[in-house]
Amino acid sequence: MPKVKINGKEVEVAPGTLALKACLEAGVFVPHYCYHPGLTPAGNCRMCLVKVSNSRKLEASCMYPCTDHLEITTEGPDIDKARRDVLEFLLINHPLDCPICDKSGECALQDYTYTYRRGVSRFVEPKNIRPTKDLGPNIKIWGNRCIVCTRCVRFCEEISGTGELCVVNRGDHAVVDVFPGVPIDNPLSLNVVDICPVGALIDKNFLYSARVWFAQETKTVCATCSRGCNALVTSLDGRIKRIVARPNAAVNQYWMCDEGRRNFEYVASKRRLDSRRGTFEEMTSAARAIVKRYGSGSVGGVVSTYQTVEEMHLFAKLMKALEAPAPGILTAERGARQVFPGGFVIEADKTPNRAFAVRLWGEASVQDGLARVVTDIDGGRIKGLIVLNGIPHPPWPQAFLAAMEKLEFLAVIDILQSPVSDRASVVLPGTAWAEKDGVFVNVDRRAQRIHCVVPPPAGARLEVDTLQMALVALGARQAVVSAETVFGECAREYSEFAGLDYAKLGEHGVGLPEATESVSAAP
Amino acid sequence: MNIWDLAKIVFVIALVLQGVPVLVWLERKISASIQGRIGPNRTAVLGLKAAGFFQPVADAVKLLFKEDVTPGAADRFLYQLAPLFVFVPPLLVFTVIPFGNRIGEEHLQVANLPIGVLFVMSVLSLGVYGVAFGGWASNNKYSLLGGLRASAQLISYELTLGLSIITIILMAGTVDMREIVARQTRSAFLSWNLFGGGNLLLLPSGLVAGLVFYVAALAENNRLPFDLPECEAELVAGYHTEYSSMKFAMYFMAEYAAMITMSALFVTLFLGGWHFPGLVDPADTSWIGGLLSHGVFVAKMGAVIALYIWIRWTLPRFRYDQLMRLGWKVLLPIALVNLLVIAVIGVAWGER
Amino acid sequence: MKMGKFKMRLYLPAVAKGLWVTMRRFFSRKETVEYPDQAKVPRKGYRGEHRLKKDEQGRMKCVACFMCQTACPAECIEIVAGPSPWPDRDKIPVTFNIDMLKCIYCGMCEEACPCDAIELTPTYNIVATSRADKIYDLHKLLSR
Repeated sequence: MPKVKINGKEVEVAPGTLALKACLEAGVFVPHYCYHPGLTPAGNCRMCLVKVSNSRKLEASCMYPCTDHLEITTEGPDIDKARRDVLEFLLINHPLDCPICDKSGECALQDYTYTYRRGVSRFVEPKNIRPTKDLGPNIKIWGNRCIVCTRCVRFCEEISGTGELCVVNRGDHAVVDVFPGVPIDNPLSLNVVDICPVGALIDKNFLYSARVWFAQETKTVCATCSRGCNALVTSLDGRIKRIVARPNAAVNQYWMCDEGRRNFEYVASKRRLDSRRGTFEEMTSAARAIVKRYGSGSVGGVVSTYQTVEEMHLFAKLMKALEAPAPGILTAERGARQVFPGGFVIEADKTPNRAFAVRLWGEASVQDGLARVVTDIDGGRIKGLIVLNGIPHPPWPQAFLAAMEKLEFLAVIDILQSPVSDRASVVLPGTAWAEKDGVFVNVDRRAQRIHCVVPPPAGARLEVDTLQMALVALGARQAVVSAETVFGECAREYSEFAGLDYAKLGEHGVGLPEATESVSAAP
Repeated sequence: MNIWDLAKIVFVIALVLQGVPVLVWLERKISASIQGRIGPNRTAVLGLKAAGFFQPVADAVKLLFKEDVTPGAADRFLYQLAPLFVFVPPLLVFTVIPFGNRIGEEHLQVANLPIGVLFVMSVLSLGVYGVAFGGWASNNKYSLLGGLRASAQLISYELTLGLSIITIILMAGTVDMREIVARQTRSAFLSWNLFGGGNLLLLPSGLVAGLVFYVAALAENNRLPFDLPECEAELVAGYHTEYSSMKFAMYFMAEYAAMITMSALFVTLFLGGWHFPGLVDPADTSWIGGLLSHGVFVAKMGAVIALYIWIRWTLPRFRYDQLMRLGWKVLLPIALVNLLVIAVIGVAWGER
Repeated sequence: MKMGKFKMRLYLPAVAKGLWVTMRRFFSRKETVEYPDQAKVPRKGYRGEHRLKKDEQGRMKCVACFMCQTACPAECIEIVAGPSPWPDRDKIPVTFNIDMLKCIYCGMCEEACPCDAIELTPTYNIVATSRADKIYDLHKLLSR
């Protein structure tokens, strides 16, 4: 293991580690544009110049592998001057339109310019004009702002493997562009907006919608597939404005798919259920009346795999209290599992918590979906049904919609108005994934926290509260407590959660061990 | 009582009462000018604005239509009586003041009492009752404090006022008001009591007596810088805090009437009354001469009052202890010494 | 200095001096502006109600950069940006509301503006009959 000295402090690094990576890992910040930890280094921005003991001139640290006893110096008058000069070159053709640039406030060029006090331009000649144009359905480029770091080009080659972007023209006319007639339109395309260090590549959905310094950022987890990519949600005045990727080496590295980034329109949809029809008491009393008349097993349940661990746990308790059979599991499988050259995966199941449903009710039950519930309704065994759904646009099977007609009683806890909620006698509006706290278990059995980002609509109530109130009304529970306390119950009840709480899950989640008890032992 | 006496009584009452609104207007205009403002200029009668001259009329109408409140815990009888007590003395004093020379055989004076000056002093001291009654009867601590302050102040300064009047009596050798004025008409300005009444040796004493009288008069009239009885910053409005509507107006008018009377007294005792050398001929008893002498008298009064107002908008208010120290430790000794000087000079070099 | 102290104790010279001062004031120019009859001309740099400026072609100068909203200490400016119909700029405000009741007329917005698009006019007679009237929108700000 080579030992290197960074600003006089000795650290040990893996063989072949690049000097910039070594510095960043040692907590020494070196400004950089073209280097991205998830991409191969290019060494073209020259911003990361440092002094190394093996060379008389300053070296680009992103291209300089560490050797044993290498001494790296990252601060000093000559280094500062070099960086300031690099910045001056970068700003020659940069329009400095920060006030109207959407990147303003989170722009590396802006930050370093402030850091190195490059306040005045000596360049008096007219600046180059490079085109502002659409690169694809989601992305627009401001050519003037581009500093040709090629992060986006490398992303398209290495991670998405689609290679739509390239650098065209030469010298100071160089700019990132697509090939004629081939727009950038791959499932990961918006990552290039994330990694663009300046405001050249802009997400058209986010364009002009908020200035980032007014917005709030919340760390949470994407719910768009069972991969559970770590995400950062930007919200302003209680409305979600965009979702960007949050690095997590164990789940999504630095990336996130376009579908996940854009899966928030429904949260502020006009079709959101926002007024209650009936109450949880009506739900429990009607269900109890049916059980009394038709006997045990006459009330069934349907639960979606969009629910959190806490909600599924409580729903299982509710089913037990109503002497119901195992509920139907609503999933949303669409397409096939996609694996990209960079190792990024988009799962086929478009719900975030499938793994915990499998753990509670078994793989067979989840595979079965709503089929058994439909059979039971058609066979007259199930007279009343309680549906708990969080999937934005659930794929209700036609057979299920038809079978609903035979029910005597239907209660729905859902977020959007649907054919099912239209037919229900009790409708209790629930909360979308961005409106609640909870835990999802991803496809790799990793438990990750989701956070409340925006307030729910007026009439909506947290599902954990609704379910607990129903349980209290049925006499199966003493009190209504917070989601965090419910998770504490789960940690005592399910062996794989043992010893966990919200604080221990942290920002990046915890990989779960195999459950020790069998599936049938579940409540 | 002949027609002349009646006419003179009516004239004097009218002079004082009509002087009040003019004075109010003057006060507001002068204060405005000193403060760089314009002052009242909106009221108009038949479109005639007259630089806000009718403002006091509007004020009076407003006051008349205001609710007349009597505090529940007030002593009703004294509460009603007090405004009259302050209002009547200034009018009474005017009976002995010669407000002009004479027309024919009629002296322009309501009644020439042989004890004129003594009458003035006795009536003037009645005013303090109105203030003290008002302050006590209102049953309000601010009113009471105002009333107490007023009575203490009036009594203190009355002493000084009386002493300086005595110097005039010594100079003039009489207490007859008409005679005092007549003695000041013998020659030019130097025969005015302010300038020693014709005796050059008495010139400094006359000036000192005039100054002392004037300062004491300011205090007697509760004018700034001696307006502690109604000092807004401490006592809301002093003894008339609880008064409203026309009873308040009575206090208000009484203050200005007292100013008119006091200035008339000052003019009579110190400034030669209706006399002005070269303008008024004491021997001229025609209508024109009589009216001219009255005009001179009013003009002098106006000048004295203007000085009152001018001082009010120049000087800040005294503190109460400063007021008392000035009254007892400065003005009273000065007046006493002055009296002594005049007595000695009068004995040594007097005419008699 | 002994004389000076005595003069001070004498008090009368000071009174005379004061009377002289007020006398001078008496004859000096009157400051009163008779408001409804005669309009006050605010001093240069007076900060009254806002307006949004237009360029030579009559288009609004504002490019919706939010700098004024960022600088505003009273948080009275609310902008929603949208794409521009003109080729020489990227964005323009779709809505631009200033809550005049929250505004403290500090002029920070004017200072922050990189396009010289917002300005505080000398308009000082700021009256309205309802709260809603005091929220100035884009149209009102541009038409001033």
